[in-house]
Amino acid sequence: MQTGDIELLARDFGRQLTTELAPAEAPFFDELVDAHQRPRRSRRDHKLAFGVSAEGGVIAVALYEIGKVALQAIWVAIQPILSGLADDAAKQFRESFGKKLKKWIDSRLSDPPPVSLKPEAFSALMQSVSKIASEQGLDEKQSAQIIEALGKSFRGNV
Amino acid sequence: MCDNRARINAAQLPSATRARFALLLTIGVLLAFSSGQTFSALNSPPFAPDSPEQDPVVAGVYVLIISVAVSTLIYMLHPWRQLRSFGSAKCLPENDLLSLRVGCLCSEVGVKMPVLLIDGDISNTDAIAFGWPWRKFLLLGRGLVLLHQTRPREFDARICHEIGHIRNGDIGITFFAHGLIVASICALLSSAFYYIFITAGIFYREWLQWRSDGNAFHAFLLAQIPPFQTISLVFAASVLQSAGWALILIIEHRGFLRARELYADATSANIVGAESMNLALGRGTSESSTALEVFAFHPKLDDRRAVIADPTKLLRPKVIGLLSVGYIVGLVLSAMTILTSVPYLAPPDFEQFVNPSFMRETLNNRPILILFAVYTALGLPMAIVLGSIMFRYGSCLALNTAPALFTLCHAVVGLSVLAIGSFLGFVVNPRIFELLWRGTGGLDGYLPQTRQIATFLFLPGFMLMGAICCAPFLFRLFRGHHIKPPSKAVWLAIGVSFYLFASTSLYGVLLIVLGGPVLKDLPLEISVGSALLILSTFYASIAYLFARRSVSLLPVQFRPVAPWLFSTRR
Repeated sequence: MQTGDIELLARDFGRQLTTELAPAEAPFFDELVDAHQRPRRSRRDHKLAFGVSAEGGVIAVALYEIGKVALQAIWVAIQPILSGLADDAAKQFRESFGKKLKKWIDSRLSDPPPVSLKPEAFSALMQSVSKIASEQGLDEKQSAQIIEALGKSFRGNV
Repeated sequence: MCDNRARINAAQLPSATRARFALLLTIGVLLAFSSGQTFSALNSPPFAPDSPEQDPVVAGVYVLIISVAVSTLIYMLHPWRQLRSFGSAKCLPENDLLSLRVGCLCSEVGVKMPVLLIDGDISNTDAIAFGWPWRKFLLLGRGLVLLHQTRPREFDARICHEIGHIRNGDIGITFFAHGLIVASICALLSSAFYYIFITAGIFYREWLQWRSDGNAFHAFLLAQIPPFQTISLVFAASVLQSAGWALILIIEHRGFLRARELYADATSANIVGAESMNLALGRGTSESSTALEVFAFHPKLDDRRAVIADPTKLLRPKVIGLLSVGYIVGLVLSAMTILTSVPYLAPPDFEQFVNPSFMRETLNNRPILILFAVYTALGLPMAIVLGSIMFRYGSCLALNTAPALFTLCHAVVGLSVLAIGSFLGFVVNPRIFELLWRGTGGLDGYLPQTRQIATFLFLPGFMLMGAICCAPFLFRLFRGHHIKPPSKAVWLAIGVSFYLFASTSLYGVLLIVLGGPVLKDLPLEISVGSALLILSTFYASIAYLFARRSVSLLPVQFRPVAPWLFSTRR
């Protein structure tokens, strides 16, 4: 999968889950992810301003980052299948797999994922999700919601 | 102890920071005069041999007028500059959810709705207030739109902080003071560059003379080394003085801004509650170094949280703040000694002052208006600042914010530090660079005289007595039943009548106690002193009537704390 494809799918992943878990942030999803991707610069202190940036994480950004990690894990899981196929077959497989992936994302993870993850891969994914949630400043309740949503979707196929 | 659960709104009391703005004005006046003196010196002999002697005070007045005009212009143009603080911004429609919420908060405080502008950066959750007296603006970061949806309490806290700035009248003072600083620094730089220009002109004239006499260029250069060294020394001293004054001005301005931020935090906490304000401030800590703190626009987060928890902390002066104020007072006193060297600006002695024939001659022969204007311009802001410190300690005693003994001990220490700061400001200030070219011979005109040292020694005691004396009047004012806060006229009336009471008491006591050669007639001294004390009792009664805000002599109800002290409305 191309980097651009992962980027688009990760955005879709994040957007769909944001609509599910943090609907207030959904209208601002693309703006939030674009701002997250811009180089961070320190805020200038202004006269008669409030002077302190709002703390706490933005779920949309966390879900976007989690989406990238989840999709990467899924991509790694299908590598053994792809390596055994000829070029044309691999291309066809990628196309149909991509559609299933999109369908899974559009279902907001309520459908089973297009490929199952091995227990160690699933465990590594959950650890990454916790780490990203913590890095993005989400609180425990928000982290637990995301882990539960992902776990429910993958657990059926582990 | 004061019940802090019922949140006293310290912003309802006359703000000491306005007095601090008056000090900024004083420093600006001093800088303008300093620049004017440089200009007049450069346009007088020996720099301009064919020109008549220029009056430094008149030149100083001209530069002051220009500085005020430039400051006003910078202030009038500030909205266009502030508009671009977050980059491009657009107006928020009146029917937007954000506008409606801001309008709601403004009407709660009794403040006219400002024009709302919003930028395009979703990660920006800051807001800035600015504008003219007749039209205020609030520039919002787009991140506040999201915050309003996800964390409305924090949104309210941030907006109420900005509304607090509008309600407390911070905008005009802040941006006019900024204009004053820019104008003052420009005046200083102009005088320094003018000095270079004039000096270059002198050297060029000298060279033309040398050339016409048939002398070689290298001989000219060798001959100019001694005067060049002197001129360089004078220039270095001038630049160092200018840099010193500019640094003092900038540091004082930033300190003033930090104080206004604390008042805005207290106002916001009174509207939305301390918990919401603390949520908005977050759990972080300020990580700036001490060196950078003096230049910061905002106070440390710990200080902000402390004021939110206990707004009465705004009343008790900080010891380090008193050192700073004292230093500025010392600077002003030092600059005033320069003026006494100008013949028609020297103030009369006490014996001359009470001599009718001397005073008649003085009024006929001296430009009394210039004398009055100059000393008032320099002395009045200083008197207001010292008076505000007395008022704040008196308020702490009247409100019983801490045990009275603690407040008195704090006052003794704080006022002593203020006196030390004054002495330091008098002795260690940018004028010290003048000694670079005057040498130790200039020390006589530089070090404080005996009467000035006596002023520094008696200042803490005098101010402590003032704080203790004004506490009963403030106690009465803070225990009334009024819901609306006192008007500016009432505050002025209390201040003036208390000042008259304090000054007549002091003169009466001094006259009776000191006796001696003043009026050269002991019975007359005792009579005059007693009359002054009776007059002071009359003034005290007037001050008390103003403090109870009722001219009726019938008993007026006492409350634990007056309702207006908790109000967020003006």
